[in-house]
Amino acid sequence: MNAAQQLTEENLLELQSICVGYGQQIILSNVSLNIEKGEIGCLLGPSGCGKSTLLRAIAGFEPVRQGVIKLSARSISEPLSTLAPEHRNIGMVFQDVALFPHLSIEQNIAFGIKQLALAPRRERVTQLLELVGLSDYAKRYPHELSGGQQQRIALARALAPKPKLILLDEPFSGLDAKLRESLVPQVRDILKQEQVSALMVSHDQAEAFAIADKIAVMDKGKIHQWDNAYNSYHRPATKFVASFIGKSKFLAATTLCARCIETPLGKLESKTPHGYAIGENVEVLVRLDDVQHDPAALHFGTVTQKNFHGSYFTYELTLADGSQLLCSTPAHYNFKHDIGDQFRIKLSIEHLVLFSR
Amino acid sequence: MLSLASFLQQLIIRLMIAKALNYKTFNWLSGCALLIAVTLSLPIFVVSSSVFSGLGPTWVHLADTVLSDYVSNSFLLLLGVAAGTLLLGVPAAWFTSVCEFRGKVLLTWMFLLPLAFPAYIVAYTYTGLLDFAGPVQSFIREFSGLKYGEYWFFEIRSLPGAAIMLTLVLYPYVYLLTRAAFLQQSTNSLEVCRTLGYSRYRAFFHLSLPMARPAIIAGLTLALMETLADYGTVQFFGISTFTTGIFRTFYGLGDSTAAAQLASLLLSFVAMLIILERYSRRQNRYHSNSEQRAAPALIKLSKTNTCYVWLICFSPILFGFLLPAAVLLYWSVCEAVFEASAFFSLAWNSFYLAISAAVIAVLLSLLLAYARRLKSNPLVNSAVTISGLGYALPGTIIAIGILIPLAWLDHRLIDLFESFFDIEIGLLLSGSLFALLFAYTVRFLAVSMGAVQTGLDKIKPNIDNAARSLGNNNLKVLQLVHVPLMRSSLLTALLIVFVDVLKEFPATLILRPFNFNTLAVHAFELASDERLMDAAPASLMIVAVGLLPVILLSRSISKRPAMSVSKGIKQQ
Repeated sequence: MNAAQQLTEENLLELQSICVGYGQQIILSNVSLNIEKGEIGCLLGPSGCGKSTLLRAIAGFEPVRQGVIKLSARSISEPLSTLAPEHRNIGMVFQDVALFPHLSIEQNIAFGIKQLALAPRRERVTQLLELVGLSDYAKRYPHELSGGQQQRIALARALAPKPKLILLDEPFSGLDAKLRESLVPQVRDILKQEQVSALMVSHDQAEAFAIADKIAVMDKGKIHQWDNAYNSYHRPATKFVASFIGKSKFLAATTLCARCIETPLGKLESKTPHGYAIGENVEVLVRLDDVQHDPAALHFGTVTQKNFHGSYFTYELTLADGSQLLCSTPAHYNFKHDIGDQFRIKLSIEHLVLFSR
Repeated sequence: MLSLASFLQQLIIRLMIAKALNYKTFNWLSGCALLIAVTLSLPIFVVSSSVFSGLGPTWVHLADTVLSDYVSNSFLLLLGVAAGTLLLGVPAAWFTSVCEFRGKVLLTWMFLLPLAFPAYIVAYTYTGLLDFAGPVQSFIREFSGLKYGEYWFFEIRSLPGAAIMLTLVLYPYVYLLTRAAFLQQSTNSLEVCRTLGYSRYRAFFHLSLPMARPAIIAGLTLALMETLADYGTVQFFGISTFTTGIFRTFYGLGDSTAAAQLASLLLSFVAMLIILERYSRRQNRYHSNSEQRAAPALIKLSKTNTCYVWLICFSPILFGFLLPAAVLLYWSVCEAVFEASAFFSLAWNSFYLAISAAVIAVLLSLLLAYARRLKSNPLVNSAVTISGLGYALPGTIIAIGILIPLAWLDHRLIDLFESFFDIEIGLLLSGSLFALLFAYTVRFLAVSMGAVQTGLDKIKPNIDNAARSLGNNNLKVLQLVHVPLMRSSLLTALLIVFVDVLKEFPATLILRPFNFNTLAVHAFELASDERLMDAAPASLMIVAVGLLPVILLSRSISKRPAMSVSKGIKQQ
């Protein structure tokens, strides 16, 4: 048995360069992705990037035009052959919850495990109600529950048949911010306890970072990067990823040596080689927290916009050459500037992220 | 030549690729939907294609003599009904949506009561009351000692009389849609208007009324479509309009082509109304802000004003429902010659016909609704739209459009059976209940379709997806999720079609098998023989059944005042 074969055995879900589209319109092109057993993945991207379509293709609601989707090394979607959703053993949780309004909470959860005998079915329902912390609500009906409770029941219902994989389509977007903050870690705990693999769709970076082991950043029907949160933030694979995750701007620069570049704010040096030829025109990613207020620095920035966030300020600065940067300062810092003011800044970047210009 | 061949070749290849890609967008359900659409549009097709068969001598005769009467009478009738329904419907809608007074809830649903009356039954009742031999004129003569011709009295059997009869039962269309529009208007825009210095009453004329205009027009077009479709009232009053003209040409002159041509002329009037209605409904979407805001502050009426409003509002209810219903009840109980066995056999005929039609319509609606839900594509969508077109067609047009092709088919069948088997089979299709059920389906499919579709639309697609991802196929989803959730809308659809069929008159009159009578036809025959009181029991029965959907509707408008409700009322 060779290494490659072993690798595919560990992969629970495997997408091999799939394409999805309707008529002339192409929604997803050449998308590849692997999810390991027990891993939680997240598809992150702006609306209309194709993330929900990808989820629906995995669930079996959309056929693929090219490529293959495999679950536990078995093909479930190929061009002209789509395994019906009901035969996939993939659970799904929807944005609009979609609980069956005519059934009680326990009947909702038991809906997918009708094939079990009465005793084990009851046991499973009780166990799941405990898991999602809603044991007292078994006899209630969906409309009697709050939004967060409904979403937890929807999760329990999807988990009931012990699916290999669970898909979550923006499950938190209908909830208010406070509730979402408390529900996201709960859902992660529930998924980890059930040891189920999951793939979630989200357009919210904080949500993705809080729940996922790995994040696929998507735009215009393509996956730009499939990596953990730390790498997506610090080592963005494309310019889109760099600009979509975190707050940042790009500065025009020129490479000076294998590890250093020249920017409008002076020379910057990285600990590792940046990999571009010397003298090449590049763009350097400058995050909000890379720009520091330093009265001893040589360069100025002019404040063009100012936002108060409670614990910190963000400023939009314009440099002498017209390029723009973002900068944040703690709000208690005795340092207040108005629009039009100038202050001295320096860059402090450990790892240079460059893109060709 | 070569380029053409290569072009065709490319075209075929492209089509094949397109077919391979869309192989799943077409299935047996879509096929059924198309078949239904084609079958149900047959009457429209037959009637409108008669235009191309040339103008025969009958047509020339009609054009020389009565055609101008048909056009002018129909037009005047439309004008009268338009004025009447606006005059009754719009104020009623305003009082019950913007004002607050004692007994408003009661008035709100009582305004719907006249919907239970078919216009022809109101016409019989008022004729019985107001004609020369009726109690009113008898009383005047007795009281004043005057004799026939010595005093003036309103002649009910006239064009204004017909317009009044139709107005009395059709104003609820205007009332319902206008009221829904008033209720949907956002408080914000009204408040903006007030901050710009408009008084409440000026704001009504400058803002509320213009904003409600599309809805008012939509309601009005529905009332006018019913006016054009009416046969019973105008025939009974002896007014020559399109519908009576079509009937006379078909039976009196025996010229089916000319009748169909006349029908296609009427069809063009109807088509204009349909276009106007669709346009107004589309406009209405822009004119209404559906966002739910705090309930608007209502205008509280003083005691005197409340009395005035009640006086104004009560008269359409009194004359449109309470009085004729009371008169019918009195005649049925005290005056009518009533044969129980004959009556029950009539009622049985009407009921089983109506139930069969309702079941057929609901089954076909389910099929169409599912075809659209599972495989939504332009072809299926237009099939659904075409299948529903019959709702706007007068029964007379549908009857002619069905009778002509079925008679043709019957004669081919008779020839076939005679020449091959030497059997006389008679009129298999055109003289049987098949023709009637066909006509009812064409006319009322849109009604059941509306109810079924509303029920199905309430089930969000993700409910299906959730059920399927939990291991159920489409059929199981239907059984476990859709049927329990749709039970009440299916029952509503059955009920509404049932009642509509029971009230339907012109198509039944034309298409019924020989010696087959229903309640509506029987009442008409008795009324035409001047036995108005004997017609009362059958009429009362129709009205009583007609009350069922009105009760349903009145419950739903007190719950939610949306446009969706008013959409379902088209065929009350």
